[in-house]
Amino acid sequence: MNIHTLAASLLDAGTGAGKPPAQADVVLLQQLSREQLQARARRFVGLLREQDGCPNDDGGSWKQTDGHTVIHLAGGARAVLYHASGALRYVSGLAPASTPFVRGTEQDALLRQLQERALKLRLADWAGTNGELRFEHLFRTLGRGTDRAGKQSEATLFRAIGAYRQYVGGIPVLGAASAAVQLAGDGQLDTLAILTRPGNGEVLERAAVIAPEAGARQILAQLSSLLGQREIPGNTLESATMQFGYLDLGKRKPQRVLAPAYVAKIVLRHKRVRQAYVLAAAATERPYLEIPVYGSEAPVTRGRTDVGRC
Amino acid sequence: MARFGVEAIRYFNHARAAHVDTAGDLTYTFNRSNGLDAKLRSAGHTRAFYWANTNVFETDLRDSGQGGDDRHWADDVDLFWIETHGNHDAAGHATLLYDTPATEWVGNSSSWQLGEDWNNEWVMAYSCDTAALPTITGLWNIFARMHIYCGAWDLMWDGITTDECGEDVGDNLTSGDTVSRAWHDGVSDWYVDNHPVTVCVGDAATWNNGNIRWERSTINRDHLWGHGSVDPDLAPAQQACLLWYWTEG
Repeated sequence: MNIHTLAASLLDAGTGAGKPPAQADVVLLQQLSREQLQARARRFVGLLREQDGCPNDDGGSWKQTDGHTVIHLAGGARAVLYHASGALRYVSGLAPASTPFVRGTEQDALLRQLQERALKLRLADWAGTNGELRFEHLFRTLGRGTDRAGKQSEATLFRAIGAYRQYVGGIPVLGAASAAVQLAGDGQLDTLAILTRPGNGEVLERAAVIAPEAGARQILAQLSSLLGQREIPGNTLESATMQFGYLDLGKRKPQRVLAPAYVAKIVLRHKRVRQAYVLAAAATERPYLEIPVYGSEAPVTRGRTDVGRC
Repeated sequence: MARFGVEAIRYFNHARAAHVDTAGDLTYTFNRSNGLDAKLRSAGHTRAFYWANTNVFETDLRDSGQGGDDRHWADDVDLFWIETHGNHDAAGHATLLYDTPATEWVGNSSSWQLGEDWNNEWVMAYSCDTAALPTITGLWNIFARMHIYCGAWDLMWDGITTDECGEDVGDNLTSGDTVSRAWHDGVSDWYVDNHPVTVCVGDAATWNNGNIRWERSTINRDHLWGHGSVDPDLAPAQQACLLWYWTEG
């Protein structure tokens, strides 16, 4: 395959849901003070208790550690507040294979349960200024086994997870799910994650959005570099999609703005292995966020030959 | 507390140059591996080794009785984390790609046998396709006495949205979550479909003639040392079933 074919695939995907706007707001995000972070966490724990009967904060059980605060709740549950982003998580402490769903629970029933719970938990309240949360994807966790003779058990459904995407001014905030609700088979809330960052109601500026072709070219340049060659080997591409949206850098990272980006998901099939990349590029002429292709380096350790082998 | 080892490969230029495969370099490998390493160490666990790129050898997982050196590396720690490209063969054995000709370019789990020195309990492999569901019983031989294999039954995504997976797994492990839950929750960003799977063995009472008593399973009970209970080792003669627990989207 040559680069033009892959570019066409990305482009098809990138414009599949309609062409990106010619301009988009660069949205300023609120930089939360310690007091505001604490208030956000209290609101989260209070909401869980009021709306879902989740365990109470026993008081005095807040433990601040590197970059986050863990709030130990009764019954082994915990809530976690991430200082850099204000993201929140609730974890019930249920064992993973406890309380399975009734055999034969259909997907429609799971979706209904998740939507009802999302309403009850008032997920929409976390969508922020000019924002909304839309259901995006259903995940399921199942278990199965086999004996030595090859007899297999039926699959058991243990968890249903609903992933939600934040939209700001109609533009999706891409990255980890903006919210995720995980239910056990008896309807208990097993985990809840809220990753939406609060905006401060202001726009830094309205920026021109580069064409999807230009976004695809940036993604392809990254891909060529990763593959160590200008041409992508024939028949390597398994799938490629590209979305336009805002990019959230992750719950452990501070971020001052939501800025337009193109995010591609590319799956390659090589001779021996498959691989799946998420690659992102700014969708504006002026970059508002650093989106490095490579992350951290390996720690400096001794060379293998320097170590005596036993 | 636990001893753990980390191995991670980002660059595959040597494998490409030797025409072993055209696999690309990875991007956020060390965010994940460093993240796990930092979280475990800050909770008081001991890092036994951290090998990166061409210092990662296929023999670190291969059984010492089959020409490997696992008893000094993967089988000498409680938790072994590895990140590289992966796949499986037709028999369901996991395969891992390496970037050095010092040993084999590709490792195969048919020669792994972990836990028989009573050391390794858990292997975590952030790699694609190492535990394909239709042939997952091909992994049975690795459970000499080890407890849980944490891998992927299809793709595992590499990129800016999965860079925190190592930190998440580490936080979960040191917050008292079970090992299985720590893996499933930690490697899932619920944006990309990361296909986590955890695999363990169980005794006859757990198998219960096919009506699995999941509450007895290691998947349901094992925690990292120092953060909850750990089930006793299960010798091969006591292993009546293989159990797997997976997330699909």
